[in-house]
Amino acid sequence: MDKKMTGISQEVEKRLDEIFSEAEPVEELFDDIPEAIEETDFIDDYSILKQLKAIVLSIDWEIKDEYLMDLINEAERLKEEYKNERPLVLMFQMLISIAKYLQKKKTQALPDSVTVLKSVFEGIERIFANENISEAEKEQELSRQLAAFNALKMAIQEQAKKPKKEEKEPEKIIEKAEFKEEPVVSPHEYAPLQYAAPSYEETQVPAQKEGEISPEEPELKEEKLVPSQGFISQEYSAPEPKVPKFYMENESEEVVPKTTPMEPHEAFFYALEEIKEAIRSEFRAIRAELKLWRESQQR
Amino acid sequence: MAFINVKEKLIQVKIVYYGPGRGGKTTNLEYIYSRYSSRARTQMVSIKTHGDRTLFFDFLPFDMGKIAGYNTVIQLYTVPGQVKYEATRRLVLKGVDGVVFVADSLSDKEEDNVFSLNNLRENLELHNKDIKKIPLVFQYNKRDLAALGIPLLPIALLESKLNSELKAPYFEASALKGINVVNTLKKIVVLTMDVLQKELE
Repeated sequence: MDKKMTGISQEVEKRLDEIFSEAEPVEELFDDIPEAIEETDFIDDYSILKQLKAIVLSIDWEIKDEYLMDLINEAERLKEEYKNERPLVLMFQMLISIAKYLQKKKTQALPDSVTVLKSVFEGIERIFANENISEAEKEQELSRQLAAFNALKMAIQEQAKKPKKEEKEPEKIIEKAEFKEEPVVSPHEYAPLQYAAPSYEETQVPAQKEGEISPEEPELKEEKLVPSQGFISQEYSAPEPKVPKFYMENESEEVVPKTTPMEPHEAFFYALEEIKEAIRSEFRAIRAELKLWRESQQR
Repeated sequence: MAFINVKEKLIQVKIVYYGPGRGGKTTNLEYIYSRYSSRARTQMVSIKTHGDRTLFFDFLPFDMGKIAGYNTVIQLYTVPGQVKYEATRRLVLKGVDGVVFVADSLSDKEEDNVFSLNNLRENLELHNKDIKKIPLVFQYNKRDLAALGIPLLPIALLESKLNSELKAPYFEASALKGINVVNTLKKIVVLTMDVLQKELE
């Protein structure tokens, strides 16, 4: 065996060259990238929305106060710029409202709020992407986003009505301790395309209750913001011995959760728990989509 | 340790793509699969969430044919990059032979990269492996975004933060464009087979 393994590296290299040489396109040099580059998912072609998209993607990855402030400022700017286009104004206002809600509720915010935020942005993006879009189509897009937005509002109201559960002991599984499920719903996907857009009056929202968000005049008071600290980091910075910090606040701090030796069966168990939680969140998302779809069918 | 079946003349090598979430690990495998699936005669297994994130792992067995009389299969895995899937990452690292660390070059991902590398170090230790000894290749991904005016971490900074101690080979890459994806793969496979050869001697 040993002898046969001798020189394997060279043989491997040669084999890899054979396998990849034919299929590999002419290797692009980074010097040529500006000419060769194509539009990618990272960047869209609508320069007006470029900044807004970057912020929304940042929030999708990690919710930080600074991102939310950026979102509010950018959405306010665009709202002013497009003040004569009602659907856009309302959708920008939805972004602002959700951002303010996230600022206020932080980790207590419903996970779907980020999903709706993304959905509203995608709605705006679709309007900008279509140069020939009619006013009726814009209203339809607005209606879809309003449906998702209102569903979120209802969910928030329901959440506010529920009595607070007793604090649970932190679980041993450190990664499960604080993280919220991924936002996974794309409400517009199942929203009907045909129902009539609500009138302007219908889009007005009556006085809000605590925790409620509105596309018109959010009443949520802004909290004092802590700059450059993500919600997760705030939560993990609590002096809880069983919950390690996942995000460093300065370089002198330990940034890695303290790990302990784990038996294979334990690792398997924890992995199963993670998968189960992910599946549960997927089902929650599907249920939310179905709910939205049913509501839209009833209209 | 790679799986070697002398009787069946089969070698299986496990390469894991590690790194922060949304750094491009799955994109690496997707590129390899899209380009070479017909040659590799294989299927890519990918389990993703609704939000298109890797849920458990991606798995791409890559058949290299006979090497030194042995049928050699390279098994490429990714781990979910999100912090919450810690146990899954540990599990996927079991039996790993080589690691590609896919670092995110975006300017605000410095901490995520450092965190993920430290996380790799600790998780390897749990499997009694030393990050300094295991075959490792760095891939600084998303470099193409510089051309679009998006601020990126300088290579010198990435090297200093991640690779100053390890001094592993690295590639500037764009997984989305396929730039240096194959070179990264070649490098890690050669390094891994080299170590495997030495261990068997």
